[in-house]
Amino acid sequence: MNRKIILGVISLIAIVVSAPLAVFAESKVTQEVETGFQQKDVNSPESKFEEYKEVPNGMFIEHYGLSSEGEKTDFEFNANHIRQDDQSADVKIKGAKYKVEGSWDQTPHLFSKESKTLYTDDGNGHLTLPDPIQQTLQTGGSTNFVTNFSSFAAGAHIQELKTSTNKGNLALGFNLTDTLKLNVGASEEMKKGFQAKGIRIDSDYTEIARPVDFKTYNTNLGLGFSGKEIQWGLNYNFSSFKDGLDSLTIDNPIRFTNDGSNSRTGRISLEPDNYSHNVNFDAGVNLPSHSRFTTKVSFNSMRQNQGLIPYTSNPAFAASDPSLLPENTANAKTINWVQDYNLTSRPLKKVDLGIRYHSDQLNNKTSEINFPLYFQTESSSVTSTITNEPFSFRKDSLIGSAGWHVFEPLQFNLKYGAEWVNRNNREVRKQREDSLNLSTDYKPCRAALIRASYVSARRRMKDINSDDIFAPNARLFDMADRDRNKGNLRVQLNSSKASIGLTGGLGHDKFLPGKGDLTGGNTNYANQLYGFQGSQIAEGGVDIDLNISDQIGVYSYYQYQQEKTSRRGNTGTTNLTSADQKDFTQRQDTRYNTGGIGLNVSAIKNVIDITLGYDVTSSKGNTDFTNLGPSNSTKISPPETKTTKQDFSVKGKVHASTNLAIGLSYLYEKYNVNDWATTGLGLTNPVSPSTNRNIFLGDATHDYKAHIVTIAADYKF
Amino acid sequence: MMRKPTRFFLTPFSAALILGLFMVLGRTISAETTTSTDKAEFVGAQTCLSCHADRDSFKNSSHAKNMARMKGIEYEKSCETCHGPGSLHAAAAGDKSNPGYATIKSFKNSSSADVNAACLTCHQDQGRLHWAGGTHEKRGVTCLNCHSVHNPKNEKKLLTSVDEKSVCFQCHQDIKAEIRRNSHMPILEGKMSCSDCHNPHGSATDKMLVADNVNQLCFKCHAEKRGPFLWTHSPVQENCLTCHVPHGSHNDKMLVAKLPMLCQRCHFNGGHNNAAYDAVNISRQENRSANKSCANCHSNIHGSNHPSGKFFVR
Repeated sequence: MNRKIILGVISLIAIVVSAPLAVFAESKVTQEVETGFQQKDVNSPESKFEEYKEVPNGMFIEHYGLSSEGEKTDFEFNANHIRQDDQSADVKIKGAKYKVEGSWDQTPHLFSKESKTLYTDDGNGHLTLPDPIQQTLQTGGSTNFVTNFSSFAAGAHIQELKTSTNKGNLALGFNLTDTLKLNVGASEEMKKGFQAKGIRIDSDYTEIARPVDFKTYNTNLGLGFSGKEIQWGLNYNFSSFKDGLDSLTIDNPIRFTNDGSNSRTGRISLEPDNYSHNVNFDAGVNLPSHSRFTTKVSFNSMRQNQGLIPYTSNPAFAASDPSLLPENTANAKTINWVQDYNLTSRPLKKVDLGIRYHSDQLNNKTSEINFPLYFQTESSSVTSTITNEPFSFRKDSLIGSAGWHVFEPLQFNLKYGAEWVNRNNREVRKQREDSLNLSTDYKPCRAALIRASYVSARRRMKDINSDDIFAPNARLFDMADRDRNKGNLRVQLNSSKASIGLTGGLGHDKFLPGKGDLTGGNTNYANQLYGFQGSQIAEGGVDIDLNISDQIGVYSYYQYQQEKTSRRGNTGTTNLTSADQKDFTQRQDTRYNTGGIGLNVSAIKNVIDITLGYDVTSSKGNTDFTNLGPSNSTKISPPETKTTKQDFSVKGKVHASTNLAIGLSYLYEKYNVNDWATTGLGLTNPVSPSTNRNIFLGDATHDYKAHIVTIAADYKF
Repeated sequence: MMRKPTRFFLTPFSAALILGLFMVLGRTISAETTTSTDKAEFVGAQTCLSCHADRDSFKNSSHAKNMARMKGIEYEKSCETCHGPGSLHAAAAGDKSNPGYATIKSFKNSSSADVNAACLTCHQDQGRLHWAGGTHEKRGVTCLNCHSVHNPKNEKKLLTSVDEKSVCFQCHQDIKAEIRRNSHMPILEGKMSCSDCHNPHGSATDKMLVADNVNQLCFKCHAEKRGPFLWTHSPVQENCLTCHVPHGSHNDKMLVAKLPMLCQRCHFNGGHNNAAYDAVNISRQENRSANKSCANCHSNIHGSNHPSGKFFVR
């Protein structure tokens, strides 16, 4: 066996080198190119239009393909959106015993085209400002901030917020024997560009365009066995992440001189370099009586040991000296063990059974470091010791399931599961959730399916950490006692002429205050009254595909989704004691309507195709304040947030010959947005603030309309 | 107040115990089925094509080619490799009343278990190792719901629709709508596919993820969030989905709720975090509601490596 593996690896290397040369000698080669001209007209700089793509003006090459099919080897090369921001290419070589795949993909992510900043990037992690800005804004103070800042804002330059991710991937698969397969792979990913990031220096907030310079390397090695009764896989993956910058320092726009209360600069830590190892083992074995056992055991080790930056960048404090730190590096490490054991059986033809145990355990082995100083901002020093609290958890679940085919068209399924959660350094240290899932499938005929399902789950806290600042027993979204009920109905009809799907569902999560002494012995707390009260979801939809004739097809779909949540709050500044006076209830209601309709017509069969399509997605979010206590009687609910995107397209394609097709298309996009967080956002507050002076990048949202006309030719040769 | 989680214990033993019990159970109430194809013999593809001429295109498909290339199954034997020996069926000459007619395996009328068993005869490799007991298998999904051996609309993966997402959306209508939301994964743009995150053939996780859990999956693209950080935001470390929706959202960054309301689902006890930020705060574009709201200042919300990064502002 060992000799076979060694020979296999040697052969693999030889094939990688020689295969591309050998492929064409034996085969029929085909090529395809799709290219054309395009004109776009967009009436606003809204980034959503080209968020993940580039829509070029002028000539473009949509696709080039080269393929070769031979008796022994297939070769395929494809390149898409050539010379565009979203270009990609892949190559595949496949033989009887091996497969080689390479790919390269470039994905843009555009956040803003019109962001503006006064900062200059020195390329070494320091964003600088001209001295007069800092001097003037310091002297003017908060009263004159808006006026003084506006005189400089005109000089701000456009800083597009955009990242581009380039990922190259190489994967080799080789069949060492009929049942043993070796996989080797490597990838490199580079992400560069600028993203918005906020930095609070002292009492004020400044948003900057943060340089992004990420590199991630992955390598993996795997061995898989595919026997008739037993299959297994053993894989190893190493991943390394490197950030070009460890920290970012920026000039404080409102401060030119340092003192004990103000800093000329601000500094923020960035994502540390890190690496991880993963070893996982999967196995499955067929057992007697239509039974099967599968398992997965996976070990992940994640590590970072980045050097720590000083407490402050303000030289007015001795703590700006890194030698005062108790440790030089973070020394952070986590181990994630995941295990899954699953046994399924069909002891009788109409009965299937299953039992599954799953465990997910995160052991945080990060060093606990006692920091004798704490700087919440650059110039606010506290001399009490603070210690980082590494967070760990363990989640174990046991699930039993049974299915009974009562008779041919009817099946009942039952699933019961329990999950136990243990955590440290969180508000709730123990938790259990029991869930019951009932479903039934009714198939009155081959083309039809009616499925109804119902889930009931109870989550309960077991051990509340009463020392925690956010406890005791707040109704925390992710941990509080919760009763969940959810039902779904699905009707599916499929035939060669039509496909119709109807879905509907209702769900209710009720959050509970818990039992027993919820105050942790502190009678000032009334937390059990507050927090997340619950959520309700409702959804329904229809999806229809009709083939009216060989030449005409119609599709349409519509989906409605709604989520309502409720949270009870109190505006008390220290703890939640004055229950009635400062109470409020905040209700959120988010509704989505998504639909589309389209027509595919083969006007002249195999010669002219025409497609028409219209899609619309609309979402609305409302936040309302109700049950206001006297102290909050003046609170006014925030305005509605809303987005709507509509696409209308007409495409025609003429198959002029077996090799040539010419296409003409028109696409109209309309986007409307109203978001109080970003609509009309300028570079600073519209009025002089009494306290905080904020500087934004002006990454405002806009409506847009876009018209895109394209003519393209697709030629095969 | 720090308490370490319970140690890894006894699970292999428990698993072995359960396994043993099932094996005993299985042997006790075994219910083997028999087929009536015992007497049938192989006749070859040309015989099949004499009636099923519309299946001739299979000869040029990638499936037929790979059967020959990888498994050594020549085209002439390809039909009966899946459908079983056809001599009795052929001899029936289309007469459905002839007992021999039904000796061929017709997957149109087979149970989902039988369809899948036929495909898994060859395709039971590491990628499909967790099919049995997985969500799709439990729901009665068959290979033929997504793949078409004879009439694929996507030749590369023999899919029943033109591309992968269209196959998934046949059943997952809610996800089809979610990926069109204002903030979404770039699936429609062709930069991601469903199988980048999910293994439709089953995995050892609830949602058939291609990684061990949600966070390990997200780290595949967002390695910068992996840390581990000196200061961890524990809900982040526990599950990215505490704050993010996986497919699409009305809210920026695919958040489950708009900021600051999302943060206030947990942070509502004292200080500035329990304020009721209303229309007045918003009209002033105050830094706790405008733009990125809480994340304006708490911009290292996924974790911080700063010595004073406890509240993720540094």
